[in-house]
Amino acid sequence: MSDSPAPSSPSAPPIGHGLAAALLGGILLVWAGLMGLSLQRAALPDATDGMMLAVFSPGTSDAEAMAAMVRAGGEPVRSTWLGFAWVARGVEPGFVGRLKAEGALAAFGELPVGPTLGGCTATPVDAAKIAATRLQ
Amino acid sequence: MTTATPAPAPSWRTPALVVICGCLISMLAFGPRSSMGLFIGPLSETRGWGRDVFALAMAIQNILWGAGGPFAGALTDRYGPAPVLAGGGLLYAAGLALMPYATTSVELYLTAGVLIGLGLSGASFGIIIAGFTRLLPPEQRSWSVGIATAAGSMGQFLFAPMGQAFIAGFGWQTALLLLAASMIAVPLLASVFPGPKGMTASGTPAVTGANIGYVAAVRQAFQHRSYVLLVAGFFVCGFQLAFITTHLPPYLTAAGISPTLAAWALALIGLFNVIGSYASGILAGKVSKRYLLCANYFSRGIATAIFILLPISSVTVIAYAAVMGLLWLSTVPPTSGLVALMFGTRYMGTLYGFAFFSHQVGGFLGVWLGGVLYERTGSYDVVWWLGVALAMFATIVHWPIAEKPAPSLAAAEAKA
Repeated sequence: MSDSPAPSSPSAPPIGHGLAAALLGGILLVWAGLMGLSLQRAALPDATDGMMLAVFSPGTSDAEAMAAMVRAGGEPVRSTWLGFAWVARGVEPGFVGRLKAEGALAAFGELPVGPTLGGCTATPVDAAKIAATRLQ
Repeated sequence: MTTATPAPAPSWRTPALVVICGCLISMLAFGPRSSMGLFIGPLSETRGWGRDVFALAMAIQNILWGAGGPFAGALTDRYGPAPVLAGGGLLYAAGLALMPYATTSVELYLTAGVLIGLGLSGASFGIIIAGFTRLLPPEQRSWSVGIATAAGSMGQFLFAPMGQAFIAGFGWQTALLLLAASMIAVPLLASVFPGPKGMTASGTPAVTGANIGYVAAVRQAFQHRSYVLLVAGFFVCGFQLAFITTHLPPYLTAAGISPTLAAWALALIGLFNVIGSYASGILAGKVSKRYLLCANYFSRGIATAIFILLPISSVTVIAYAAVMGLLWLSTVPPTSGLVALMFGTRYMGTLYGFAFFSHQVGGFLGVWLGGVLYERTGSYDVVWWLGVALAMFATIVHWPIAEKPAPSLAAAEAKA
């Protein structure tokens, strides 16, 4: 096997903005898949009750979300920085299942998505605190 | 000019494939680092450690990343990027995989600190830049550095929520193992890089500069005024980035900004950094690199001065984050481009490694002085203004940089 890369040929993929765009698209696709898999696994089972984060479709109004939580036999506790995610409480077993039946996409013990950044030289020491929306 | 001229040979290793793999490595290397802060809580709670233990591990990681840079760069110049990237990736993976099993503070220093720090010095964008400069013709080098830097920035942006999702979905120990598993891909991706002799896409020689030995090359570089000025300027970049990353959130929350917006400010910096890095790579190939650096540092200083003079509000926070994001790692393409222009590509890894070490020392001081001066004065004002003054200093020191081959390289070219 040669130690050198092949010189550009008519059949070789071109280098430029198209390559950058394709790379970005591919990365985002893989990332979205891994995120979806992890979030699916992090979701609470239907039988769960207690305090949780109920996630609705983006664009769900506050009134619709609150009504859904009440119809599911629980109560809204507070909204979060994501308008479509609410801290909700339901004392009867099966609250998560009923929430989903009322239109919630999923419920989590903690919403594992938030912004943070690690620079070349530093990581914010309170990244965990600021990054995720927690129940307490 | 002394050059290495490998024979063109057909291969599946096209330049486009090498650029893609280099970008993926850059993304992977920067990604897990941005998730490190997420493990402070669970690790400290499980082991009963104070935050100082994790903080010291991170400090060791950062300083070894910088200190290991020149050595990793020298190995790259000698053996090519592939073995260095592979070794760095494996060390990085080992550090991540062993972190959950660290039961004493010393074990955490060895895993999160030493192994990941050394892994970063071997698997981060400094080595990829050295590899790209030997692969692509001069007119495409800045673009390639820009895309590699942007990929690293994208890694920071994407891995943070993914780390959180991994922790929520699989638990923090498994999350670390998953991150370690992602680093196993680095040796595979690195295998597409050309050897130490390099090769440009057009088949023309890629390794330029006289073969004078590492010690002589470093001595020659530090005797060249323009290189010293460039290294001094890169110190300022590290200082500003580390100070802002560490101290901006507490500064904002103390000023009455919500922690959520403070967190989003950092995320905005990360997002705009992707755009800024890529744009800088394009610009560095078209306009004067030193003027680009002057403009970058001057803009940082002006933006920071305006930010701290105006009353803090959501609008000023978002605007400042966007501007700083655009300028964030945009220094990398012109800085690395100037190193290659001054000394050729033969010792690119080593000489860029020294410049990056200066960057890391600046970063260490940015974090440390930010804390110390805050404790002494009760506010961040002094450090903010110090950052403005340093930005102006960097603008001034970049101005007289001679944007041409160093006399030693020019003499070698004339002799050839």
